[in-house]
Order: sequence, then structure tokens, then C-alpha cells
Amino acid sequence: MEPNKLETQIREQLNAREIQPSPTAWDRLDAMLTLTEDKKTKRIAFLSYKNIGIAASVLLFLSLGLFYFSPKENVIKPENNVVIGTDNVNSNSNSNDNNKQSVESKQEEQVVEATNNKPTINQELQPTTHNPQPLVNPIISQDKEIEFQSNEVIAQNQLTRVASSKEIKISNAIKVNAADLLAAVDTPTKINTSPKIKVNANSLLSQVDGELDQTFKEKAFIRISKNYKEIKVALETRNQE
Amino acid sequence: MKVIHLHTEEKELIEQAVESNRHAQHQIYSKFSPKMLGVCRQYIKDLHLAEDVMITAFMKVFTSLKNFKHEGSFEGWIRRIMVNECISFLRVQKKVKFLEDENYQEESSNNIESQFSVEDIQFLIDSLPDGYKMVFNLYAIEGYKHQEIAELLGIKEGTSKSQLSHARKMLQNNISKLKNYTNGTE
Repeated sequence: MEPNKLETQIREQLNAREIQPSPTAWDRLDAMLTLTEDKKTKRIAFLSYKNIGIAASVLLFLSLGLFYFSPKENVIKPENNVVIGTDNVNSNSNSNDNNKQSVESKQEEQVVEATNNKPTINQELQPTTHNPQPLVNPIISQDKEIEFQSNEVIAQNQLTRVASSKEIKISNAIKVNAADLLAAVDTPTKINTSPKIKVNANSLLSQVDGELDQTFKEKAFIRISKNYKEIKVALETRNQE
Repeated sequence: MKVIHLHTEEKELIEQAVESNRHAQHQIYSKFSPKMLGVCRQYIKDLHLAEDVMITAFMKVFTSLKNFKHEGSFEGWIRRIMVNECISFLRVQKKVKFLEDENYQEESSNNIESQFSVEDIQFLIDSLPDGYKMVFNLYAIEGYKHQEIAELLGIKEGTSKSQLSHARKMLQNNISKLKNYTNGTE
């Protein structure tokens, strides 16, 4: 089955052969090439438009996000002022100084609660990560903890911890029973752990959130529809071109 | 030195053509189209159709030029595209079917030496049925192996062999007829 001499001759002669194509052949090929190139460039242009659209929408959502989250910070700031300003309710103070301090702070908390602003909860939820040194300064934070623990067992634990640390400090100067201290601390905490306040805060929170949501959603939808229309018009004009 | 120069020149031309440089593409076309039309004409009897196929194949050459690795000869690469295009044209347009025929006899290689003009050779090849023609062209002219032909045409290796055998037999008959005809007229 090896190619014979005839076949080699045929091959050589055919390989040497050249047939000149018609002059229109190149024109046809040229036209076909330009057609495919046009398609390619159109595709590239479309892609760039698409990219611009994507970039625009990403920017839009970013700005939306910024608008949405920035007002929350503004609401939190006034809270601190309220907490500092509410020192006037000291009438229910106990005989023990330390207890006084704690009660005062609780009163403050009460006032804060009475204002029923949503960020107070944020503030008070933060200290739930247990502070190991309760007496240095953070009595307030500890008391806050106690106030907002709906579970009374946790509240009691906190109280005992507070009481024991107080004992260590106080034992040198004044001798006070742990039971007395406990009793002294117990009474105000019971007053504070009223679930009604918590409910009010939540409802207010949701209310404010809802209002915020509404206004920002409206704004966002207006912007989205506006941008969509712009992009649509741009695409239409490009297609017409 | 001249060969190297020519090679670099061709490489540059290819690189420019990849960038859709129409002048470079035209230069490549002008350089190879006469030979490639000859290749297409081997497979397709109608010259106009052969030219159409050549143009389509050149389109493929230019669109896939970025895939050319500069490893083999550029002409060989183009030629392969042409051959493939001719085969797909024959298979799709003419719906060539290959009869599976395992009962063929391998003829002893004949060494008829006679001078034929290219026109005569083309006439002889044209007289073959498309299936025989494809296998004969691929095997005898392009130098493909039966396995490659079988893969390319989607047939069995045995079918390729039998087709070649039949093609050769028919070709020999036609040659003797042609000889008688030319001798008779002379």
C-alpha cells in the first residue's frame, strides 16, 4: 500500500500547481473580515457600556448604604448627653457610700430609660461581656447590666459579685455584713428590673427604624429609577447610532 | 541568512495580521491563495465552489491566526485548514457516504511511469467519486495515515483502506483509458 511512482508524480505535479483566484475573491474575503471585526468592536463597545452600568449601580448602592447607616450614628450621640445630665435624682440614696454611688447610677439609668431612646439599649447591651473589676469605676456599667438582664438569676450573680468586692474594700474601715449589703443592693435592682421599659424601647426603636427605612427607601427608589432611565436612554441612543 | 530573514519577515507579517492589519492579511492572502486554490480544486471539481471554500478557509486562517505557534511551516498550517474545510464542505454539502467494504484486494503497487499534465491528473482525480477522491487525496497527496484519515472523516480505518484501494483501481483503469484515448488520437 505504499504510494507508487505514479502517485508521487501526481503529488509533485499537484503541489506545484497554482490557480490564480478571481480578483473579486479578495474583495469578498475583505468584506467578510470587516463584518466580523465590526461585530467584535460592537461587542467590545457593548461590554464597556455594560461595565459603566455595573459601576454606576455599584456606586449607587454604596451611596445608598452610606446614607442608610449614617443617621444611626447621629441618634446615638445625643444619648450620652442625656446620661451625663441626669444627676438630679439622688433622693433615694442609702446609708452606704458605695451603695449610694450604685443607686445614683441606677437612677441615671432610669432617667435614660425614661427618655426611651433606642441607643441606650445599644450602650447597655455592650457591657454584658462580664467586667472582672467592678469597683474601680464601672459600677454604672455593672448596674446597667443588672437592669437589663430580664433573667433574675444573672442579676443576682452580678449582685453577689459586686457585694463581695465591696466587702473587700470596705472591711478595713467599716464593718458591714454581707447580708445587709446584699439587701441594700437588692431593693433598688428590683425597682429597676421592670420589663415595661424594655418593651417601650423596642417599640420605639422599630418605629424610628421604620420611619428611617421609609424615607430612605423612597429616596433610593427615586434614584434607582432615575439612573435606570438615564442608562436606558444612553443605550437607546447608542443603538440608534 | 536569507532564509532567516524570510522567516522573520513572515513572522512579522503574521503578527501584524493577528492585529487585523488588512495590508498584512492581503499580503498573506496574495502569497498563498493560488496554491491553496489548487489544493481546494483537488477536492472540489467546480472552480467557483472551490474558490468559495478557499475564502471560507482563509477566514478561518485569519480568525485563528493567534493560535498559530510558529512551530511548523505556516504554509502547512494553512494547507491543513484548507483540506479540513474542503472535507467538511464535501461531507455537508454533498453528503458523502462511505460504504464499509472490507472485501477488497490490496493490489500490487504498480509503477506505471508516464508523463501526465496537471490537467490530465486533475481530470483523473475528478473522475473519482467524492469518497474515493477524499481518501486518495489525503493519503497520496497530503501524506496522511489511514488512522488520521479515519479520524478526520469519522470512518473506520478499514474503510479508509478499502476506499483507497478502490480509488487506486479506478484511477488505474482511467489512466489506461486515457492512454488509449491519447494514443488513439495521436
